[in-house]
Amino acid sequence: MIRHRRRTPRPLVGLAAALVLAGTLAACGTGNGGGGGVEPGTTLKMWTFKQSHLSALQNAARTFQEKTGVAVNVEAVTPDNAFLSRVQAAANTGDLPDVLEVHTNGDDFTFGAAGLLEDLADDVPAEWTANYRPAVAAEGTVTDEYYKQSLAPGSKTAGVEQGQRFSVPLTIGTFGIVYANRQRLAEAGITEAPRTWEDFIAALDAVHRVHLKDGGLSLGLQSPSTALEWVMQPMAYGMLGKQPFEALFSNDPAANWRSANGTRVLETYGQITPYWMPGTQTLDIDAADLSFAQGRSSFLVGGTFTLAFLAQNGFDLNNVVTFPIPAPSGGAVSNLSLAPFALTGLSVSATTKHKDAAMQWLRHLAEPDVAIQFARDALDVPPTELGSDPGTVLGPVLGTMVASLGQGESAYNAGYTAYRPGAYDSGRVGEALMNYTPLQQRDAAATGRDLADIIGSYWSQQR
Amino acid sequence: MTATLVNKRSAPTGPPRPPDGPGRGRAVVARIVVGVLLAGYAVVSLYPFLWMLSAAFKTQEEVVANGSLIPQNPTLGTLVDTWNRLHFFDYFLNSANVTILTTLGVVVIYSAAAYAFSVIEFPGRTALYRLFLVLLFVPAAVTLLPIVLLENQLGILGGQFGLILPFVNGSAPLAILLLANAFDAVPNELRDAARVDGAGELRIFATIYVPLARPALVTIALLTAIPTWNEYLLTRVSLNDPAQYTLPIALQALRSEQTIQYNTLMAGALIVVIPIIILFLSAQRYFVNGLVGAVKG
Amino acid sequence: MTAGASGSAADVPPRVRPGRGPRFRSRETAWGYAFVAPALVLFAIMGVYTIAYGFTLSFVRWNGFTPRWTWVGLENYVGLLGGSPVYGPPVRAAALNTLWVMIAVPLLTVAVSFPLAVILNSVTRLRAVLRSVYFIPYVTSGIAVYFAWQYILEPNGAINGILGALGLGSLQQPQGFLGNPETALPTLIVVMVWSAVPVAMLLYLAGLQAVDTSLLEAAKIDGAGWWRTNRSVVWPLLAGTTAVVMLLNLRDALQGFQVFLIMTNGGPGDATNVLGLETYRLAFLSELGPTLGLASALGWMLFLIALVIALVNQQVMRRLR
Repeated sequence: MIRHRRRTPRPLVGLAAALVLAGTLAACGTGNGGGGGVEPGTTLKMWTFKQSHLSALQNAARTFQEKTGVAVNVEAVTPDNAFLSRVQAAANTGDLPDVLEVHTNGDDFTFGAAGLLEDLADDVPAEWTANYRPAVAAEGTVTDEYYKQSLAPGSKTAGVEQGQRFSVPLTIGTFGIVYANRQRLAEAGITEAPRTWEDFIAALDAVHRVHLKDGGLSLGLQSPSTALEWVMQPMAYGMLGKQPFEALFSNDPAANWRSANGTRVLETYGQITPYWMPGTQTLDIDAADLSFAQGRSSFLVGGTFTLAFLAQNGFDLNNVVTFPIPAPSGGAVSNLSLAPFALTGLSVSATTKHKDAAMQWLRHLAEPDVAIQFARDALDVPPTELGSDPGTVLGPVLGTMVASLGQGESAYNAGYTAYRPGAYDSGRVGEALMNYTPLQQRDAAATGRDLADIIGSYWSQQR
Repeated sequence: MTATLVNKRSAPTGPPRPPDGPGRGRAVVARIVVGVLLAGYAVVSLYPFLWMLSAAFKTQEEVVANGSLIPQNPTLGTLVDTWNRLHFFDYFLNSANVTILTTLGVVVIYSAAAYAFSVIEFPGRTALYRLFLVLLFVPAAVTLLPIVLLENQLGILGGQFGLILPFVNGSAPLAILLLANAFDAVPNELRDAARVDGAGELRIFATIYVPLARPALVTIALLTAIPTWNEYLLTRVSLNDPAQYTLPIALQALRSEQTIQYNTLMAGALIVVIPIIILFLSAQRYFVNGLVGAVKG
Repeated sequence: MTAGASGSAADVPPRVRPGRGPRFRSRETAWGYAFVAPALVLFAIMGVYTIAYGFTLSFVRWNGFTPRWTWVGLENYVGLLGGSPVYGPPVRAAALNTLWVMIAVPLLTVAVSFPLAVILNSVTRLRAVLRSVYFIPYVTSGIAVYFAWQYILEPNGAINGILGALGLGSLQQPQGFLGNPETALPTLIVVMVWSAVPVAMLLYLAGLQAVDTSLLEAAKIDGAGWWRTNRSVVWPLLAGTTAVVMLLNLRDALQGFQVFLIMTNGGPGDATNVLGLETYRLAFLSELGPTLGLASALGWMLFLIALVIALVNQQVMRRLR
């Protein structure tokens, strides 16, 4: 599952689960199979777990009401763990809202497997999905690969069936995007976004020289998977190319982290060591983002979704330069880009009494003009086709970021994880990587062995 | 904790004060050392609390800079703003209800149980007493989920009794341990004498043991009330209706509405903790006296 | 805790009364049950089910969401004890950290709170004020105070500032005291001791007030100095209190996780992961993974360890008495 934000505390999951169980039983047979028109005057209830989406959704709800007479009452339930606990309890008492925003290919599958969500497979026709970028149009669907993952012992989505669809995309994006303080770059004599890993390191170094105290790179390393998935993996993909990159996670000592390739990747990645913001290993993701917004660091690695957070916390967006984590020069992928995938989606609860209205609301949000307005309001990337110049529709900052997203072999798709073993836990793998940098407890070769051992333990669970 | 029959004032166990003469210089040194040690640990005890206090009066810029303990430009703005956003009185009542009822429950239920364990003879006494003590070691992380499931079935999940019942039950081991020891210190003769006068078990308990163990009762009340007031884990898990939120959860909700700054967080924490500080200070008279030989005469 | 009686924790209250007539005894029995009835009823409602359920959970694999769970027998226990290449190693690492915490926290708490109580007991001026001040860490023991600690310990935080001002720059932690894997665990131990001292001090004060003054006077007449009086008279008399303090802190060291969860989340890397936190992570932070059973199994193993330690503690204290 791809959790782009807040890997950290989600205390309720278990409980939640338990409550859902009871809720599931109660929920059977209450769904409205569809058919029949939508009554004006209906009010839909919707929950989102992203505060930054709230007012954007409320704006879209206004236009929806003008169009259909159906009101949508949107509520933000944050953070993630609170959202999950609310879902649990509500499922239990039959109080789920009609529509939920969920993590695509994650919560939606788990909730769906527990019977909380409508299977939308037959309700989303081709002319609807034609609104989306082809690459993300089907996300939220249980594909072959996801189905196979659900069969692995220990899978989090056990119980889903092939071809079910539990959500349609609302926002897309990726992580591995560097945010740099434009003013400080300029003070260090850097006016252009780095295009290679070496340039990136040089930029870190240059800013560090001018700003000894606050020139560093902040990252929420209290969730150790951030360094692994947001920084090291894109770089490694650019360095090695698709096949050798994926082989790093295999059980083959000649090609995995234990191999010369693995050591080479780690040594290159290790160049970042002197430039971490002091103490960044103790920060959670929000605190790291906040450090950048407050000027205590000059670089930040985040995702497309980080922009809204920075804006919310008063960072002047004209002062930010964004670029994807670049590949080393001479690497297998010369012009590395990042492939977007669906981050959040919209699901309809199985207990809704207004399924038709809910489906219309989902459809409304997929209309290109609505989606673009939503994107501008929320400072997030819509799943819609944006044409050749996203800057004109989304504004310069978001536009630049979207323009840097790519597809195909030269684009690293962080949402694709089928090459990893089923029980893979990026948190534990990230901890081992942290011992290399910033903690400097292990050298590159030893870290390679550690990584290979941990990943090997996950492979041993496979079958 | 301890009610004791020692009539005398507590024993001075500190450095002896030698009479006049050559020992005097040593005594002065000893007193200075004692003073320094006591003051030093007072600073250690208060230090994080002082930072909370100081941050609550700082502007955001100053907090970001970390800076000094004394705010450069002290402002009430943060505190006032946080107070307004926290809706203190809406949640204060919830917190107070839960805390008072839990504390009352603990004191009433377990003083009775401890009395039985301490002075009444009945079959199974030892086994039951051990059972309650063993419960001290049941890890909270293991029972959290079952508690929620159980309360769901009992229909008390999400309400105040959904908090109070497990809090009371969870306090059983410590309360029984401390109260039973306090009752142990009451001499049997008092009970025997009362018996001869025709007093029943309830009257002996209520008119002899409870008053004599009052300090221990106050102590256990505080040791229950303080963690209950601050409780977060089970509360977070079981409350979903904002109307039921306790203060710590309201503070958490404030944090999740938007990323709040450090000074706001500390101001909120301060507001949450002030009622319990007031409670502590007003109860501490009993607390203190209680620890001294409670049973005079 | 009556200091003089030094009743150790798991002891049954010692009084046994001489038997009387059978009628009297049955009335006494009835009263006994009547007095413990409320406690027992509450335990029957809240305790029995939750404990039984929690115990059952340790034999299954379940994420809490799916309609059914998978019975796996002892697999969870075996896996945690090293049988699982996935869960064994982190548990081993956490166990080592936990061991340090279990040794350091109770000992340091006693080492700080006993002298503090003795000294506090000896002063007359400001005693009440100081007692309140020393109790503040317990009163403020919510989550916020740990955030305050974090703030004090960060790279440009107050501790580094003080060290710099004192000319002890070499002791400064440029990554913050929680950022350096070498100092993170010791720092958390200090914070735990800081939180534990108030109640320990209170228990000791209670014990001290109960110490029979005549014993101390006798010691004085024998010519014992301050140190020797406290060392060989007061300390043994308070052995029961020490037992309780040790026990409560051992329990917290073994099972507690709040400090760890809030301040480091087990980091940096896995430098401060402990078994209590590992239990919590498996139960609630596994991103919907089916690890509830593992969490429960780990919890019950901790229960067992705590019980064994308690029994050993009791035996040791009994011998010391």
